[in-house]
Amino acid sequence: MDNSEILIGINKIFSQVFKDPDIKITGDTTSDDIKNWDSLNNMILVVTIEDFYNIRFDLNEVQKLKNVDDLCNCVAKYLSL
Amino acid sequence: MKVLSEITIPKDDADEEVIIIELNYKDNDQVKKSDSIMDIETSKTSIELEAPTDGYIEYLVNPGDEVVIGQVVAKIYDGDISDLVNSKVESSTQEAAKENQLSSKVATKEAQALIEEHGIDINLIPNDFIKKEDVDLFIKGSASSGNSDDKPSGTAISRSKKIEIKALSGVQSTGMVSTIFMNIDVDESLSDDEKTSSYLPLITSECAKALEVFPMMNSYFLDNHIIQHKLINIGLALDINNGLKVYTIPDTNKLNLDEVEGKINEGIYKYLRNELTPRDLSTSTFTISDLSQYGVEKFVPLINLKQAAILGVSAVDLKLNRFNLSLAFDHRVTEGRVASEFLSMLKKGIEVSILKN
Repeated sequence: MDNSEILIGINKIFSQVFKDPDIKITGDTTSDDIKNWDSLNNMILVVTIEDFYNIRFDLNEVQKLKNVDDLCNCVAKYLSL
Repeated sequence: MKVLSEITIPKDDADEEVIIIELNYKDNDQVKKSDSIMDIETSKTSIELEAPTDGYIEYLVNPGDEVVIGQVVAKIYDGDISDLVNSKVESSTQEAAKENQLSSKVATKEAQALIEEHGIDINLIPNDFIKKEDVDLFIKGSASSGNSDDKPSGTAISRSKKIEIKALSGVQSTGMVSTIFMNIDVDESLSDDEKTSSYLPLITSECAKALEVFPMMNSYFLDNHIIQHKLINIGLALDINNGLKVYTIPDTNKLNLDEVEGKINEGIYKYLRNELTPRDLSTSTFTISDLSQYGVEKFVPLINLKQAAILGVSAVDLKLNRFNLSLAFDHRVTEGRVASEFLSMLKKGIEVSILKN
């Protein structure tokens, strides 16, 4: 699975978590660009992504991610393990 | 036959009572060291009690029983205890029979047949001498009240809620709780999104600093003594989708802001995954309850057992560019002046960071 496919999947998860069907994310999207992307919703995102892809992140690693691109790379890494 | 070990309910920082949920063996079953012998529930989580040694188990409690900390709930013997178990069963049967004999209710044969047919608890029928007509009347009354649309319906509260109520009633029931409020200014030049970003890590970090200066806020009242906690462990009240739980950040005062934020994230993650351990949920010495995401303007939080105070965090008012902090404190431990100085220090610490730009 490449990053563009992962981005499509993650976009769906963002729509679900932030209850916005029209939400559009790109690799450059950060928490500053999404309303209500606070620490609580960030953790809800993490858990939902883990469940969706059936992976478990290293929480320390997740907390260092800067944008959606980093998130996609992280998902790709755990999918390849 | 010798008792090898008595199993007691372990000490818990928040509760004085717990509930027995499940017994994992039967009396006289052979258990091995570290086997999970029963599940208990505190106000915060479920805990498994393990067998401290190999042997034959005798339970002294039943599922649903409320037991106090330190109570012996089971024993482990070095040999077969079938004689002991049999005599226990016999004596409980005799007790039940004795209770029936002592019942003041008397029913006619016809009434008794009807009671048994409908599975009615005889004690619910008001008369002492019960005839068939009384039972008919009771059945009719139950049926009509059951069909009534006006009859209020009730749902039994969960066991953990029951214990939570007991834990929170402790300080509150003394009537010695006061609450003070202060507003925290936020930078009006920020966008609405920036203004409403979570201040919880900063508040938690500043709170830990203030608790170092005001140790009375990190204490509790017990038997006419004020007990001061040695450590500053701030607990965060989390209630997302799995009930209210207080997640503890050990040694909060020794962590920098980033570490506090990391710990909060870890707590939220574990809460969502239902992976909070008893260790995560115990030993908090002061609690913060953050209802900012629910648009709450101002509220009075309830103080936890073995704590002197709790801080409530409300939502940012975007028109007035501020949010409210409420501090409920146990007046037996401290007083309004000290609580006000504590809250003032906290306010200054937070505002220095968020108004610096």
